[in-house]
Amino acid sequence: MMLIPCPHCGPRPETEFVYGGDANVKRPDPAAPDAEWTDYIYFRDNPKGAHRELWLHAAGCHSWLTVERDTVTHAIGSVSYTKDSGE
Amino acid sequence: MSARQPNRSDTGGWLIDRSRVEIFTFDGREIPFYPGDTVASALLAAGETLVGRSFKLHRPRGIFGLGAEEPNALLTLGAGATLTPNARATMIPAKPGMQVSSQNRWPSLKHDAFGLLDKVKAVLPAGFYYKTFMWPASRWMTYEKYIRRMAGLGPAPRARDTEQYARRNIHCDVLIAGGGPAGLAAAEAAAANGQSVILAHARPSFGGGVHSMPQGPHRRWFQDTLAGLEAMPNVRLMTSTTVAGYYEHELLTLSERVRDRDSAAGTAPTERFWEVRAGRVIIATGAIERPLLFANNDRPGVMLASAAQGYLWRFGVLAGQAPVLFGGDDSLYPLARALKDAGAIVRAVVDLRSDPGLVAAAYVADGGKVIAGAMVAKAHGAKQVSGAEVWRIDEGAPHVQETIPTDAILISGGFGPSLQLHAQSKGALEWDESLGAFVPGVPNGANCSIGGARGVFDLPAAIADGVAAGKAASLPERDQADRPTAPQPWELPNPTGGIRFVDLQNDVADKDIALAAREGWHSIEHVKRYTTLGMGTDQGKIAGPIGLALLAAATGKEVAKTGLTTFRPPATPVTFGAVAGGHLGEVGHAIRRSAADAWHESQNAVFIDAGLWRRPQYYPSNGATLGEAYRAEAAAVRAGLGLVDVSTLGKIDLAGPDAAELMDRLYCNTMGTLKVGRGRYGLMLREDGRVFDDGVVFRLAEDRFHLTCTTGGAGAVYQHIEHALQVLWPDLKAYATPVSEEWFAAAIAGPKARDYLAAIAPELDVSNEGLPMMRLAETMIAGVPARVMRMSYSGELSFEINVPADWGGHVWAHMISTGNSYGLTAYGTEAMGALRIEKGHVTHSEADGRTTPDDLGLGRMASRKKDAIGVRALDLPALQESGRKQLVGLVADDPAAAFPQGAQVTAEALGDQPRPSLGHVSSYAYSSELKRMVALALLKDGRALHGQTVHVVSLIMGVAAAAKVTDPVMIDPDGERLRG
Ligand SMILES: [Zn+2]
Repeated sequence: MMLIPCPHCGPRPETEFVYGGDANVKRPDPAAPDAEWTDYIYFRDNPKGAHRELWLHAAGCHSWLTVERDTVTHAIGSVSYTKDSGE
Repeated sequence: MSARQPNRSDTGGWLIDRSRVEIFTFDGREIPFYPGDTVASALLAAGETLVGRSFKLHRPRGIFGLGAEEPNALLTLGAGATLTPNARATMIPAKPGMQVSSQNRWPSLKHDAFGLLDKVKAVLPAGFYYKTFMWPASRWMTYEKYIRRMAGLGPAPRARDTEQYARRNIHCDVLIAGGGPAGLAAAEAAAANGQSVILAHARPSFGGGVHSMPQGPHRRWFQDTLAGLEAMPNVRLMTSTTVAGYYEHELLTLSERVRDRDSAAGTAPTERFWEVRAGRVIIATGAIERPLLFANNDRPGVMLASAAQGYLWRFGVLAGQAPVLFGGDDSLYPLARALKDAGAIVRAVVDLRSDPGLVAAAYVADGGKVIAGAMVAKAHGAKQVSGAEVWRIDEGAPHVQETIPTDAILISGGFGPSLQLHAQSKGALEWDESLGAFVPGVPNGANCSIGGARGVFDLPAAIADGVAAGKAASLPERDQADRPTAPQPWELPNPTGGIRFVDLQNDVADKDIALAAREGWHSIEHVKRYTTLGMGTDQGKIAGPIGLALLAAATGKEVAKTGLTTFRPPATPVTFGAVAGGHLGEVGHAIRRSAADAWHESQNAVFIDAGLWRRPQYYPSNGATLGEAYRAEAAAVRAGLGLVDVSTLGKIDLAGPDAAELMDRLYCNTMGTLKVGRGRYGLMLREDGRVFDDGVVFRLAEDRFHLTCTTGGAGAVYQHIEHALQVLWPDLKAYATPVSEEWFAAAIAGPKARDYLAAIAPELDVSNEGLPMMRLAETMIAGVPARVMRMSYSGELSFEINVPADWGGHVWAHMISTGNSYGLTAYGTEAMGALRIEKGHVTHSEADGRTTPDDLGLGRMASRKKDAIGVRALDLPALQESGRKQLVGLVADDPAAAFPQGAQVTAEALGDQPRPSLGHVSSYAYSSELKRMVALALLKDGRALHGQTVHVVSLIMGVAAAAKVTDPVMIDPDGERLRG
């Protein structure tokens, strides 16, 4: 069971978190064509290795976090508040 | 040596206390033992060589190993509620009065009826189960009974387990798995550096390999080291504790068998299950000896040489009176000498090497017999080894040398590291050609393997490993000594052509693997499942590497490239009881109770789970059965007045300057225009356009909304809102606060609801003008500040009353006591369901994750004038196509007809022909209003079917009923009753 270092609560076990999928996808503009929306809704990369993911600290501070995780080794890199990613 | 313990020697016995003899029973016979014995060592000492029958072929089997790798000696402990099947005799400490039984035999161990199967091995090849029983399908039922009787290990206990179990969580700097010399040295070094250390050892006493050796300076080292560790406050020593699982980021699970260690444990649990989060892990679980392949290598009396060595030095037990030793390295010779010194007549050492070297020469010089360049090709005897047929393999074609009379063949095919924990942690594995074994490669995570667990078998070198690992220093170079190399176990010829077992527990022979390879199974994972190789409770600890090498040979691949099967926890079996710990029965999960729960309970309400909540399903005082009660309760609502506890509905407070904007983005319908004090029914969608949740929303202030959502959806809706606020639109200024538990909520419904509300809320103007539909008002009820919301789920005139949760019980009791003169009837979820089905209101049975607003007849709610989650997807072509399932009502033609659970809907009645399904029934109930069954159903293009007759069918229940398709709103379509 992974240990995810929440910037607010400290290292907490994976069971306190809810997985939120790929952190790289961006919600398109409503006026974007069907293909772009289909891509956003249905298609996800499934990388072997480094990945950026969303995790919600549901049984903790309820922050949505952007977590860098290696899908092979489960090594966790940086963890940050998603709301601060400000792009 | 005594008549009752014919194989007990005066030599050795480091772990036993010879001052006292105790007794346990094996299949009813008394077995004497010394404190410190395992069940296996006591059985061996008593001359009980036959201990079980094999899983598939029912061949006689004896004790083969010394520890957790034991494939044969699986026994049943106890009886009744404390029965434990498949206990490893090698791991179970003998206890006075213990009741031990052999397994998998009928009627008795010595005369097993299914033993005949062995004579027809030809009909039980690899893939037997797959091939034989797949046709015809109708015969499966017949076969199954026979298979279950034939192929079973121990019986499952029938009574509820009366043992106590516990779970613990703990952290440490260093967890060391294995308390042999390497592990002890590591613990000492780590603890000396001030680290908190857990040292877990599977046996009741530490020491491991130290106890399989004669007297020497290492014993003093062992005693001093252990005494030092016992005195250190930062060291937790855990015996009878197996490290069973290694999970991500150094979370390990340990099973501590408390009763194995402390027989008079008082109130202590039988077993404790530990979750340990370690800073780093040192794996010192040792090595496992590999067997050798020869015909009948499964006969009782064939044993691993290291096991025989262990039985001698640990327990003072001889594996046989006249053994033959067979292997390919120098370790055989000190064992032969020790056995001889202990009183055995060592018949011969059969050495695979044609030139065994100096150690063997010295043994011969001392009068020992060595047959070099030879192998044991076949074991003679059935229930006990009687002879070893020796063939020469060093010159020309293999030829018979002699058959040596013997009662034990002690075999050594070299050692391989115990890889379980390293592999579970997803560490890499490397093939070591000189060992002929896989060894740990680059670790994944903060761990290292030391001693035997990385292929370091020499005692001083293993201790040096431990010291280095304890200090977190790099490990010494592994010694790659040149030794005369013998053929590997899988390279041996089979000159007699007899059956050679690779996996003793599952009766997998070498030719089964060859057959699997010929039939095209080339992946070790497939071969494992096809042949059942390594699928027993021993997890293939012995069988795995040899099976792998045989597969590599059969498919012409290198062993290193064939790879091992995936290692999964637990490394050794853990009882279900230990994993569950105290989480059993009513305390198995948390229960959420409404503030009125005590009243429901006082009425003997029958409860139903709704998420973690428990809700009254019906009140038996309204009718004896569920069916009678809910019909009466629903009828009471339609005719007069009902009261229902709706506290479990999710409630979220949404506040902030951008709250209205956020509401418009969360709901597919318009919310931002809602006036303060008014409510609106809303639909939330997932981004793929499917209905996610629904509920009524009230605007409390310009910048504040009160959201309700479904009981089951409350948690997910809150996460969804936080996702919108933190991920999608972090610039929006709003806060969401879950307030479900802050409020107690009850709904009153029925034609008398207004009169009754006027009575309990005298300060409130309850008229149509004073409190119209979808309005919220604040007032006092029973002396408590309350919110009254005029809304309806039942279709009747109805009000929902919210009060602070702490006052809920008080207000509910007040409502019950004042409701008598109005004929107030409390109703449960079943009646609530019947009422909403009649009105066509959807729940998650209809909003099942596949349906869009339009599918549910709510398409016009989705506003295209704003951006809201899920609305854009509604315009994707796939959601615009015809042929989607649409919500309809179904009304039974025949008032006596029953609608079955899980029903499909067809256009024509079922005859002999299968009929296409138009869709399915999502909810159904008896309509007290229409006096017949009604249902909501999702039918293909269902709205075009209104007025037609369809058939509600269930092949499983054997029921079919004709019904009319209608609008989902089956009663009071114009909503007259809502006005009251
Ligand atoms: Zn947190």
